[in-house]
Amino acid sequence: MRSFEDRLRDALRERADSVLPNQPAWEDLLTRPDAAEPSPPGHRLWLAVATAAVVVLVPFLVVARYLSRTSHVSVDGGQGQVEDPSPPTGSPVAGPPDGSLPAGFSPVSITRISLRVGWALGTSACGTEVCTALARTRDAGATWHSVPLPAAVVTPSPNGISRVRFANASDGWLFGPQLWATHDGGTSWHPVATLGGPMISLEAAGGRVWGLVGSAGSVSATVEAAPVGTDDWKPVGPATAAIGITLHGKVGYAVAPDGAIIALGSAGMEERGVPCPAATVAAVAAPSDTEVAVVCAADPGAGSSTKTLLLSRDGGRTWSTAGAAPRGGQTSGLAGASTHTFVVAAASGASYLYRTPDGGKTWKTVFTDTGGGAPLTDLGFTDPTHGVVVLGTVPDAKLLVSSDAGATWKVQVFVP
Amino acid sequence: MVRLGTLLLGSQHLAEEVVQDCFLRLQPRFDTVDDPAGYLHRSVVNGCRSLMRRQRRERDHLRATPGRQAELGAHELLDVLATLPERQRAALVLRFYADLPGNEIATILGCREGTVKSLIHRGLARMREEVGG
Repeated sequence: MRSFEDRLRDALRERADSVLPNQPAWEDLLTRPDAAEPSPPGHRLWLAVATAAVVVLVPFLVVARYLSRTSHVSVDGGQGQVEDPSPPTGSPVAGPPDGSLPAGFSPVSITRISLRVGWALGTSACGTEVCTALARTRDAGATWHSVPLPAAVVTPSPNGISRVRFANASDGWLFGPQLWATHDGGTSWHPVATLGGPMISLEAAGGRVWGLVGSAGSVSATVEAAPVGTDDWKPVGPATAAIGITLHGKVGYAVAPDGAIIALGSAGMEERGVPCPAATVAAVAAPSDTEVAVVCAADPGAGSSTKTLLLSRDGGRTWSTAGAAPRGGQTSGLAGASTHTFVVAAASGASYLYRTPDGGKTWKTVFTDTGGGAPLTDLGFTDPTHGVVVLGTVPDAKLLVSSDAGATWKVQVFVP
Repeated sequence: MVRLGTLLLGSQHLAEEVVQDCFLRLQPRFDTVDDPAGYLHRSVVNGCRSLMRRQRRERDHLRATPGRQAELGAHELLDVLATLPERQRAALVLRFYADLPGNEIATILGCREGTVKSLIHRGLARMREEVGG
């Protein structure tokens, strides 16, 4: 039986999750990455906007909630949950003015800083060629607009960029394997020199950006971090396995070469427990600051494997088996909509999304694509109800979105 | 902030009013406040505590309602939480929802860290006593 403290913690979070699930997290506006420094004018603007929005939105939301229970937006998103710091329309987003989205835009990577504001990296037609393109939405994906990219990355290349992440409206990164950064919302981009390897994975939260930097001829990587808003990247600890970084709030997780979970925090890296002593950690998710989930892959067969979900409620120190997703496909992603609702992405001859609403006890296949095992990438939830995943590869990739905690998924069309 | 207020007050509607008031109070002082987020945190908690004190009489009758079960559901646990004195309730919410360390809770509640430990210890003990957990 769970401890009384854990039961109280779950009860509080369950209640909190039911409160204004799409409501802006105003405190995030006041703890922007440079909040420890003297408040720049932009902060005062944010606060004024936030205050005005509270005054306007709170009565509106209260009334609207009782007048209508219909969902009003679909959503874009990416790794990890964020709160929505933008008012419904006319939100102040830094960066260049909107351009026309080129025809045939196909997404390969998605990121968002709120339910409404996000960026998609992909390809589109440019004359008779295919070019790398970056699109931005400010209305939850209803419309998308082009954002200029530096000429050096416009031509698709295995040695160029393949993924996008933004920490806020100003600070973003294009990476994989190169690393480019913007600190003005994408108006200008510049290459960032790291310690000599390709940037494999990058996530930003809590005022820091974390990256896994690969090393030539090795499956391991090193973790580097920088304060958001700077290019001051520094290595922060020993080698890790190169399967990516998962963040929630100010805590991040990576996987050590021996399979142990590594917690990433402001104090550096700390090795925690080994969730899968007899298997391989295939994916990690962090539905809260203290809860971590992994999918352990074992018994690989022809296009299938055992996918055991393990949960930790103490930041990865101790683990318990929660259940097993269906065997079809090889696991490529795991995301937690809440501490009990998880979605596993897997692909082999087909592509699947498996969902459990009860912490791993029962599973249902909520999405199947029989188109030859297209990869599912960038699986994540923006909040407890809105999820996103990219299906396939450019130029035929599609963005799938969910607005019911992963129970159903639909293709989001990129409307210019 | 609304979530935090709701957990303290048990009412989302009241929490929204408190948070709105706190934002309005913060705006003209923003340039002079060293830690706006911390200030807002303290304002919301203190605003909720004021309301909680006023609600105490209405709350007292709830103390008899929780039943004794092997593992109560979330609603029942929160009902029991609502019967605690406001400082104990605030300490428990800040510890187990906001995941704040003792020194930060002490700053928000305006007390010593040792007092926070005592509040949490007594709050948990009282809840266990109520629910038999």
